[in-house]
Amino acid sequence: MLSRYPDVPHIFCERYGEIFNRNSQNFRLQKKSPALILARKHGNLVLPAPKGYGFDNGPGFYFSHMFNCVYDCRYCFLQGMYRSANYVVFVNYEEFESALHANITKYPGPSVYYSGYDCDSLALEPVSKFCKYFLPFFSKHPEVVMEIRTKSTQARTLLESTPLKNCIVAMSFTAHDEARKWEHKVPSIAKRIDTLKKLQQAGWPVAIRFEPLIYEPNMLQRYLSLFEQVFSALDSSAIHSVSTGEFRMPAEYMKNIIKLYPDEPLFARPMHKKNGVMSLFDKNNSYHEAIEKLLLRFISAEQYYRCV
Amino acid sequence: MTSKMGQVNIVVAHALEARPLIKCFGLKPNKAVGALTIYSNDTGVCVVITGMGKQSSHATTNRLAVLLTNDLGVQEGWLNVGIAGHKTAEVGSGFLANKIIDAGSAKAVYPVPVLKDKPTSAVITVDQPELEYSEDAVFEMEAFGFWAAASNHSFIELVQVYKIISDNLKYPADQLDNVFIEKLIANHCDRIESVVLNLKELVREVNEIYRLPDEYEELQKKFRFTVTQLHQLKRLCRRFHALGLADKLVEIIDESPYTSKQLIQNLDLALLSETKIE
Repeated sequence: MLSRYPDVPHIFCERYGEIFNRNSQNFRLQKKSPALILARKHGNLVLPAPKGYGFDNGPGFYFSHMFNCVYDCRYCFLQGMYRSANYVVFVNYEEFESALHANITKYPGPSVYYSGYDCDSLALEPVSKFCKYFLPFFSKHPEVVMEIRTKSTQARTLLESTPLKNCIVAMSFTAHDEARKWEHKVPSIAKRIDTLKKLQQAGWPVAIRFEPLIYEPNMLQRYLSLFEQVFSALDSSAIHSVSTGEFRMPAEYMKNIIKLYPDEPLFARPMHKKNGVMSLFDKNNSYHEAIEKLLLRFISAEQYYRCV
Repeated sequence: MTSKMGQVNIVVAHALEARPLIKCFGLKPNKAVGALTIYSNDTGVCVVITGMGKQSSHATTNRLAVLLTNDLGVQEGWLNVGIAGHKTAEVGSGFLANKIIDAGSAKAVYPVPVLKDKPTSAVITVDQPELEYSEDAVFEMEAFGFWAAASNHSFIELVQVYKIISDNLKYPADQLDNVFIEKLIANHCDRIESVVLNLKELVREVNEIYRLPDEYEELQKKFRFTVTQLHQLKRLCRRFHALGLADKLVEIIDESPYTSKQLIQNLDLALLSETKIE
């Protein structure tokens, strides 16, 4: 990894937290030119996934080889969770592998391992070689599923590897206007669909995540057009799963984000707090059901789940 | 206010280091800021002389920051400039600090690399002049103290350290003279100016983003608010602006008389109604 960046200064520190977790940082300023931190993760290598996160396939866990994301989605909770916008890549893959192995032994039978909870799983693949390293591991554990959650088109490693039935590439989308407004530096919807199509044709299981849904005027029309575009390009019946989820995040993260982006219209909208989670104020909550109804024109009910 | 939105404070240890900067930025002595020896101009650059050593640097930087603190939360840029030694680097070369180590405590801090295209180096702050240059790093006596103080008052992205190499193994520190020191700094004025300009841009950008709406200040003068209400008011004013509803905000304010409580309620209700999606 270091050899990829011979011309930038290599600065040594004892613990990544000395840089990543310190006070008085401004995530928004750092996001303009984030540094790459290579670190060793000590402990908590595999963690239980939050309740309601992901699909039903036994217990859910997540593991993060990276903190932060190369994209700059305004709605992203990472902005409120971390003080720093620097990318941290944990390079002790062998220890992650041991922890995963121990967890799989502890929870035998079907289970899910999410790799894109604190980062985009694929976006930094040319540097991190995350998939290159972990695909062989999961090929030896067909009883468990790994979700590779992404908005990236960096699919070369996957396309050059033998497809694995238990490794699912889950691509996230919002409708065109929403993507233009809030998903900065993210590949276009067309490119993402094209990547998914290639992966599906190559034999990889693919999934779609329509998240976050952000309540906007005429959103049904825009989502209908997005669904038509996505499902006309893919073999819908072969899609592993499709989910939707509303824009929401822990109140503490939202508070931090509002401080960072006092000028962002999205965060100036009325919100409500329930069980420590903030979401946009919506009196009748009907739009989500309407979107689901639209979606079920394209996929079966068995393929669908709502992320809560 | 315009220059205040992009203020950069340059902190130096010695008058010899200050003189070329005073000339370069066209600074004038400013007696208004406490008992500190500071020089400033109308474009938002100020130089303060701290005296030598970590403690002096910390104390003076902190004092200046406290004196400059304002209720509006306006951020300022901070730049420590000074001469330093290095084992191998050429005399006359300049470095931005990418790591500052306090030799006394072995503690390290890491300036954020927001300023590009300048060579960077680790800087070691020592308590006594270093003549042996035990590591391939910049040796000096103030940066850690400066950083510890300035980073308490500003976003750390706005706190930077620039050191100019005055001595190395070949040209030891005991051969330095005053004329040479002034000349070294003067030779770096262009580079220091470019660092200051970059910092000013960042500071302006930050202050523009986090600037409080004018209405907030006006209302503060008009009504009596509790501390909680002030927080609510600040957020409400910002939300109106973020949503492009500044005119509506003015309209509501003009509908006085209100009590502070009524005003906040009305602003809240107006936002709810304006953002309702049918």
